[in-house]
This record gives sequence, C-alpha cells and structure tokens, in this order.
Amino acid sequence: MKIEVVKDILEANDTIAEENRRLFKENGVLVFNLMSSPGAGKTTLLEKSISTLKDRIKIGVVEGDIQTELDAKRISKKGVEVVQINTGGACHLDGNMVKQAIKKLYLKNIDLLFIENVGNLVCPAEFRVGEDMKIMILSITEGDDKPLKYPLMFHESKVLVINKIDLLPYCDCELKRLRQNALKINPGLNIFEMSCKTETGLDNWYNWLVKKVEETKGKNPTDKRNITDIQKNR
Amino acid sequence: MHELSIAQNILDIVNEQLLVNNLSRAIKVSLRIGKLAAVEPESLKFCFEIVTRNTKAEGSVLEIERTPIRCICNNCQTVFILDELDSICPKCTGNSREVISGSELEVVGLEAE
Repeated sequence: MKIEVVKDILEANDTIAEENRRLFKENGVLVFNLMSSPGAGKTTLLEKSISTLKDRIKIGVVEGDIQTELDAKRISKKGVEVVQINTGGACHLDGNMVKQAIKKLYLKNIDLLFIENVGNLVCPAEFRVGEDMKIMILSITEGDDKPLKYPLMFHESKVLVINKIDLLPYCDCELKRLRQNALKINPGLNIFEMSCKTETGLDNWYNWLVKKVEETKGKNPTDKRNITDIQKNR
Repeated sequence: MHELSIAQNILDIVNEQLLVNNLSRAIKVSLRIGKLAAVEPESLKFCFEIVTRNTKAEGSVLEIERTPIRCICNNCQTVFILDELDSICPKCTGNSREVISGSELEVVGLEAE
C-alpha cells in the first residue's frame, strides 16, 4: 500500500523555534543568533557591545557551549541578564534548548537578545532557534577561503563580522578576497570589518545595532547622537 | 550533518503512519531533500539502517529525491536553479537573488503492508 505523506522531518524543532519567535515578538525582543568557529570573537564582541550600549539598549544574552559557564561569567560581569546552556556534547543549539533557557529571562525587560551559539562553522546554520537573523563572525586568522569551504553558514547569515583585522599583517588572509568570496556565496551580506582587540571599526557595528533595535520598536530614534558622541559624553 | 537524529525522526514519522493506517511493515520511504539541507544521502541511508533494526521499518529502503535550490532574481524576476551557491542569474547576470526553495527535508511517501 502506498501512502502519501508530506511531513517535515525537522518539524519538531521548527515548531518550537516558531513558538520562541512568537514569544520574542510578543515581548518586543529583537533576537540575533551569533555563530562562528571557536575563538573567532563572539564573546568579546558581546562584551564590547554591552559595555558601550547597555545604557542605550537593554541587552540580554543566551550563551551556548558544550561545557563550562566561562562565557556566561564573562557576560555577567557586564551587568546584563545572561543564561548559560551547556549542550553536553551537541554541536549546536536547537529550538528546545533555547526555549528552556529563555524561561529564565525577563523578556519584557530586553530589547536585544544575543544567542551566542556553540563555536562551530557547520551545524548552527542548519537549525532555527527563533531568531530574527543569523549573524556570523569570521576572524582573519581563519583564512579568506572559508566562505567557499563552508558556504551554508555564509548563505544563511544576513550579517558577517570580519574580526581581528589588526592581525592582517601577520596572516596570509587577503581582506578583499575574503569579501569577494563571502559576497559570491551571499550577495546580500552586510559586512562589518573590525578588531575587537584594538577597538577599530566598532562604531559602525554599534550604530547598526541601535538602528535595528529602534526599527523593532517601530519608532524614530529619540537619541540622534551617534555612538562616538555618546562615548565622548561618558 | 546529524544524519543519525534525522534518521530517528524519519523512523518516528514512519511508525506514526504505520499506526494511523493500521499497517505492520514499512517497505519503502520516499524523501525529498533540498540541496540546501546539508544532508549526505549515503550517510543518511547508513544511519537509517542502524536505527530501524528490530523495528517495523527494518529492511525498508530510503528513496531520496534531491531537489534543487530555486531562486528568483531581484533584478529581472527570472526564476532559476542555483547550481552552485555562487551562481549568477542566467538572464541578466545579476547576483542579487532570493532563495525560493531548496532546504526541504521531508518524508513524502511510504510504501507499507
């Protein structure tokens, strides 16, 4: 007997991801799924962003790692709500892990939630967790051919942060070739180039974050100063 | 990746369909897998064979249809198939496009008795 079926194999995860997304929308939270290889700079970028912006936008973080609470402790020192997920072995976060984690957050008090995924250039791209967009970080030391070798990650992301540009003189990575390769895979990629270490190129990123949060709130920015002015006034 | 958990999910769907239709043994399971879905078919077949041992789907065959990545060109609205992720529009050579389909991962049919 032949039976016609149309059943999504990942339906279970996608259903939960959609539930998460509805909850985020109800509470006016903009959610970014931050992905990269281990060591590309996800947590450092979050530390810098929180330090600079926390008086302007309310940030929350979900940390995903296989083991330890090291990253959650780093973020916690910045004075924002953070929850650590330990996957125990799973190489990516999924909808259900995030669903359980966000129960511990007061979503009404968060404008922007970063979900820092497990360091992995393959699997996080395949799983929705309820985010508004996927953002990935690639560091200079990883090489300019990575967009071609790991296309799905670059294809699924809306934003690419190229980090550690201070190391360009010491690596074979060519920035122009990296940009070209990334845009070949995903012509619509919004690219930021920076060094979190030397704090170069971060202003564009901060301004973009503020703009996205204000867009989510659906009103014009009340504070017309740009990030450099905010920093000068501290 | 994750072919093992995908195989387990397929088995769950098969068992559900066998129960609903009052059938006792799966013979063939038809899948539709888009090229964006990042699943390796041979690996999936191998994992499926493992998870179905001692189940009503033991010995059943996976039939896999690989579906292409379809895009629409943002410049000239031509719908085309993306052979490689860095392909351009065959009509206007533009490189701005939206993906319409290609990440399906579905069970579409079951042959059983």
